[in-house]
Amino acid sequence: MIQIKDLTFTYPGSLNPALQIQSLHIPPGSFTLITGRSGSGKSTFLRLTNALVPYFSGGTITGSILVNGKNPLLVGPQVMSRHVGFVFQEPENQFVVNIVEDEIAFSMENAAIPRSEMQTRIQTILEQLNIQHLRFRKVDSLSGGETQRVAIAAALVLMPELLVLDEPTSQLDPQAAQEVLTLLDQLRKERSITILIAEHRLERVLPYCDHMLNLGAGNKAGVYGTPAQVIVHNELQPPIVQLAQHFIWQPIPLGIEEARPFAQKVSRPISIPKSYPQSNPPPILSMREVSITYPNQPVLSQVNLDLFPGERLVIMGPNGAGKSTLLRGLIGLIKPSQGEILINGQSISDRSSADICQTIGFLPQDPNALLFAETVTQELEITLKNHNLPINPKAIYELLDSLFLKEEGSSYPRDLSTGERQRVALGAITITNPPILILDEPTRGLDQIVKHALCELLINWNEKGKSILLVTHDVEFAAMFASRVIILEQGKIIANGNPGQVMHEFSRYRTQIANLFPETNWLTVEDVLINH
Amino acid sequence: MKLHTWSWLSWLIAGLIIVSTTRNPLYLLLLILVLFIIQSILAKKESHLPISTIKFSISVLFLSSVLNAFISRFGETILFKIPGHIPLISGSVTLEAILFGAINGLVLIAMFTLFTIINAVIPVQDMVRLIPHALHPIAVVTTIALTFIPAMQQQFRTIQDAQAMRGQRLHKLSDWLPLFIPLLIGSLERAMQIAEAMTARGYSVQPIKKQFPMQKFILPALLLFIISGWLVILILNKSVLGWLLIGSGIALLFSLFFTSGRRFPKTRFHEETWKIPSIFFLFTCLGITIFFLIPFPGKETLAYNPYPLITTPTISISVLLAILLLLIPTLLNKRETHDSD
Repeated sequence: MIQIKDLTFTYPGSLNPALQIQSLHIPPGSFTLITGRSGSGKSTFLRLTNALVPYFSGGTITGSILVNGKNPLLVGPQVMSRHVGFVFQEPENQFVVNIVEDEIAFSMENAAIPRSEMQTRIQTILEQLNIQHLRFRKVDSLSGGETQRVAIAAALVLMPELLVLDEPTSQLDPQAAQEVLTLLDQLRKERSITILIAEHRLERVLPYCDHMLNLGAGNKAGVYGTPAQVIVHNELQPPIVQLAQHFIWQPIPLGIEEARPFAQKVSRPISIPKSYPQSNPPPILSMREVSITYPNQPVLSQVNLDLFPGERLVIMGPNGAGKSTLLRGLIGLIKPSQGEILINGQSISDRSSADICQTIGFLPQDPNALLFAETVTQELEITLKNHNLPINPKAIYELLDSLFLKEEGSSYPRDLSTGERQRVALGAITITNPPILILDEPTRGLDQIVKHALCELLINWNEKGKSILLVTHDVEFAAMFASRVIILEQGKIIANGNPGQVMHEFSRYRTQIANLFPETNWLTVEDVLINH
Repeated sequence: MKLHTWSWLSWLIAGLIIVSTTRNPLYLLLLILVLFIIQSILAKKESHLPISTIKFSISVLFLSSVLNAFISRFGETILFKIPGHIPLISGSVTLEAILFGAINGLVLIAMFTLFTIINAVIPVQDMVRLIPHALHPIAVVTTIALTFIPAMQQQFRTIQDAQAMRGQRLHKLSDWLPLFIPLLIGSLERAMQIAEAMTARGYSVQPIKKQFPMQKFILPALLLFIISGWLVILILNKSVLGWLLIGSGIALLFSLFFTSGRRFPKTRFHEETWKIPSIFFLFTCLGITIFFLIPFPGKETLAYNPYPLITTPTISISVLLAILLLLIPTLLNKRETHDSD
């Protein structure tokens, strides 16, 4: 399906190539996972398959690429659209029209497909993806999982031979992510299409793929092969592979079922529950019987929640459960229709959000919403000015140092990588030294290395006295970080407690290790190695 | 039943014709009342009149009355005098000037409500589909621009919240910079994402077929025909020849649309069909339009001038009935059934 020979691509103005692939042959009907660190060229590679690169970006290409026998660079993106279906990283941002069936019909209208044929194809694709009920919905009313399915339907309706997906599960809760991946696997089997998927959360995709391409590895020329061949050389490994490497399991298991026979041999000493800080002191932040209602739609219903000093509290739940609304309520952006929110026992009802945020540092999902200054240092200074606090260059330098950004003080924030921008945004909200930190989906778009660094940084701050509350879909990150876990579903807290207990009890929030050793309270590779 | 887009547009035209042909405050008040009723019944989400419309109407009525009272010095019923020699301000404030301003305000309210209703009842796609096929790129760009606005509003709120978290307060002009820069950059990024997504799904502003050799001469030719026709009527006073030339130019314009449309081989998923209620609605609106455009008994009651002294506006039953006919969509049109609504 894809043949590449000595391919290099360099963006305009850049000295180093963004992508280097010596030789690659992806067979038709395969399911290939593209992996690599942020900036390794994953998105560039995906965009080359349908000529979006260099059509939109410009740049210099050497070598050759053929997709389904066609050279995308010669035929251009419009011709390639008949052969390559593309699902972008944020599908909600690329919907062109506002009703689902119109959105799916868009590419067929461009291809001048007769109306009767369009009707048939739309009906078929809706049935195949089990989204008939969404046909007349507005695209902005869809949940994360629904949005992803509609985007896939829109990409598949022209019956392309190749389906390309750029981080399709990054915004999805574990269950929705699994549903999307199962759907892709089923589509591949039924329609024999080739699937190319770039993803950071390897543990989610590895069980489904039959080939893997690690970009940036192997002397930067990329390593391609079966997942078992490639993953052992990968610096980013999912927990089961890490465990397999440690215990020398062969062949390397990629999913839970393959790992189960090996796991039987791992001794399980009588499990001693992990000790977590006891929540005896009075809470630093509380919600008392809080309900929040949007017009015609209750979002939170009588929620009681406490964050105790020195805690690392993680809230998980499906898309649309009310997690972000809960956070917005905590910082005064939404007033509860019922109940009370307290900081250090004092109600926040008469305080402005700007005032509350001297006590609470809040990092929104998209850190770009915070960044506007000319330099990283200025971003931090502006927060201090906003709060009428003195600018202390020493404190700014120390904070940048702890964020691994001391070399970037004079850089333009928006030129930095995703992980660096995330840390600049963290700096901008923590320079006032708030005792509480609230983070909304902080691992979105981060590779595993950056994610681990973020986890270490947050734990370090927590040990120095900050209480941290974060919302995430990333169960592996939650297991590494949390001292307590809350599950929020349909606006209600349905579980609250020790991560080991909660994540084992609710199977959809289990880590790979928890799934592999369900009778223990282990969550991470470290738990297994310590207890073994 | 969903009424045809062209029917709704004929309704809009009828409403605009009424607004532009009368200054009688009683007719304008009745028209606004009719529009408010339609808005309350047909508005997609609210079953009552949106507060924003009422607030807007009161503000417009107040501002236009006050503004005219202070800049117009006509009228005989003097309420008070502003002393001095300040240009535009000093002088007599009259009751007639206030009423004249209020009438202008009523016209503005009626126009605003007409467009608000049209915006609520006609989906963007249906409106865009009215653009000729030859202008397909314009149609798609219009669609994107229209879907871009709610996304930008959403993004603005997100940025506003995020900046508030950093203690940002909006006191002076420069305080808006932290909102403006991320919004601008975010919008450009989104525009690029949409452009990529459209291209990846086969959209191209480049025509598939080559231009017909004679096609490039059509536009200059049609302009020549229309201008020369106009000059023939104006200078030579030969209206038959002039209209023939103008007609030929218009025919060439349609042929240009047709041939250009064939260069973009695209199909449309939705094609609206004409049903009896829509046809009935269309002809009713055409009737209203003609009624207000041609001379008819009682037409003199359309005009009203409060200067120099306020008089009681006269009314004609036929005009009142014609305005009431604008209510007809409330009997024919049902709310759309998208389950998201």
